[in-house]
Amino acid sequence: MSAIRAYLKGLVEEAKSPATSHLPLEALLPSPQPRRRFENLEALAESIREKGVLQPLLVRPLGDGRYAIVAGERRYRAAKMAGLAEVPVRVLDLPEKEARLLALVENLQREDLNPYEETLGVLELLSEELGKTREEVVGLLRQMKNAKEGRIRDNVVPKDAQRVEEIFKALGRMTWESFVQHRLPLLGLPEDLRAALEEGTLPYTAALELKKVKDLNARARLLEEAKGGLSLRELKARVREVLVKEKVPPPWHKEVATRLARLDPESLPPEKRRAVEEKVRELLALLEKR
Amino acid sequence: MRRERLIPLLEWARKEGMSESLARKWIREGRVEAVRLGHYWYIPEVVDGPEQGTQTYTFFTHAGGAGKTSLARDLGFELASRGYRVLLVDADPQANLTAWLGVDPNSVEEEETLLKVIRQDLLPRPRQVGRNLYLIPASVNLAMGELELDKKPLGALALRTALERVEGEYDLVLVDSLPSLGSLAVMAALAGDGLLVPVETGAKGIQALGAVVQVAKEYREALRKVNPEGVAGRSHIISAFIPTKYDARTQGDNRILQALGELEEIAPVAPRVAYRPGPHRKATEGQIPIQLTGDREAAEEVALLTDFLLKRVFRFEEVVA
Repeated sequence: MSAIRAYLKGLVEEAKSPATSHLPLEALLPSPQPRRRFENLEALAESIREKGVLQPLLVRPLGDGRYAIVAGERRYRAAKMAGLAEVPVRVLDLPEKEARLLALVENLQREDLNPYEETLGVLELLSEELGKTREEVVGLLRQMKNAKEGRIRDNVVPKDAQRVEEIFKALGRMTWESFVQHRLPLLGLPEDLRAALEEGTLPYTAALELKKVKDLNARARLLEEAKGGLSLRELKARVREVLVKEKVPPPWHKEVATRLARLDPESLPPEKRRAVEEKVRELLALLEKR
Repeated sequence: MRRERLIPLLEWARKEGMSESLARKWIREGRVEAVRLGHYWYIPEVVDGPEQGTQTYTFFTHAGGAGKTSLARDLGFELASRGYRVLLVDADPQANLTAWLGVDPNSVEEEETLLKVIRQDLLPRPRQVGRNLYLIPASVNLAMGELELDKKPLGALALRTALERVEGEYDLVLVDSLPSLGSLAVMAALAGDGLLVPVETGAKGIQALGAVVQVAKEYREALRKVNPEGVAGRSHIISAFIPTKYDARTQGDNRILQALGELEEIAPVAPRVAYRPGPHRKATEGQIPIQLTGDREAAEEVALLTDFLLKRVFRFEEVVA
């Protein structure tokens, strides 16, 4: 008896799983994922109306006939706008974490996540994987970097460090070292720069450059110029100009002290040497007198 | 919309508040118009029914002897007598449905069969085989259609397309497929809204289900392009399972019938149809549906099955006045 039932249950499963690769939109559930903004949905919807969804969405069965979208929420939204009843999918029977890793890889490979989204996505994935908060992950990464550069004793849990390296390898986009170096600073960006990054109107290298400018007005001006298509080199030059202006000239007596420190009387021409020695002696006498 | 339905004499007599014998007397005296079909008398009654679109279903399984043809005949008659305009389509070159409805397959011209659909993309004019009941017959030559279909671009959709032209002329189109998974069977399966799958209550019937489920998924994909709304949210096009040839005396059949309840997750599982060799022979020999053979249980069973399909599968608004 149980054999027949088992066979029929198998049939039920078989019948419920989609034949090839199409699922109705109602069966799909968006899941939390790295992308924060959905731009140009209209354009995508238009192309979907004309040609259909070309690249299958990655989905993961939830077991109740519904599927979580692993990758392709943008296509899902656009297909909805285009009035499609269903979309092509690739069903992955993976545990959620593996699926998320794949989603991130997929998203990163499509190259249209902005750097800020990408950074948050990577961090989210790491925190999920390691069971740590985002702050703890950032701490761990910094610690790994310091340990590597020999600045502190290596007290990082090796298991975590190893997993971090594995994940970055799976991502295939950058090493964890360069992530720490170039991407983590994005988290500390002031609001205006972060907004520009999220909009995708500013390269992250430009954002890091602009971060050096503390004067809000100057930064706003440079930000506009950078958005207007200033090259990174030009931008760097402009930033330097602003920074020079920003920099308060050091007090003159410090300048004197610096120069004196470097002074080697032996190397001076005799006449000049005599004059300098005389003035210095005078200065010393003056300073010693109370 | 005017529709004619057939009221069994007993039911009519009760409604009119007279005894059955008085009703029979009236019939003899010609005071009331009546029709004798097989074993029973019926009183035709004209009712007003709502206008609604045509629904098309295909009796489908590649297993032979599962009961496709008997079901097509009996359900077709039952629905017609309840006032639905029913078109039966015999897609099987064996032409059993045609013969069982009293049409000699040897008298059937190729033009009258699905060959016309395959060759000219036109639905032949059906023969009327009863009140509200029409038939597109088959003949042995229909077997040629299989080969012709293979060469015809989009041949699989030929019947579906031809039926779209008579949309509204019938309430229900029931297609009797053949025991095969060849191109005629595909054309039959893709003709309409879904498959009614007879399942012989036994190991053989269960075994056949694997392939049925598989092709029902493929057919669903094929229909996706043609009728995306119709198949959205479904992964197959099975509309119901109908357990047949159930033998209450055997333990095995009882257990299998119970287990078949599992299929409810795929599609509604209809009340079973029992194995009745006697009435079955009587029906085929007499060229009448089983409910006219005088076997009360058989008639009740068909009525029950019809009720179920009307409620769970066809979803018509009630025709009865």
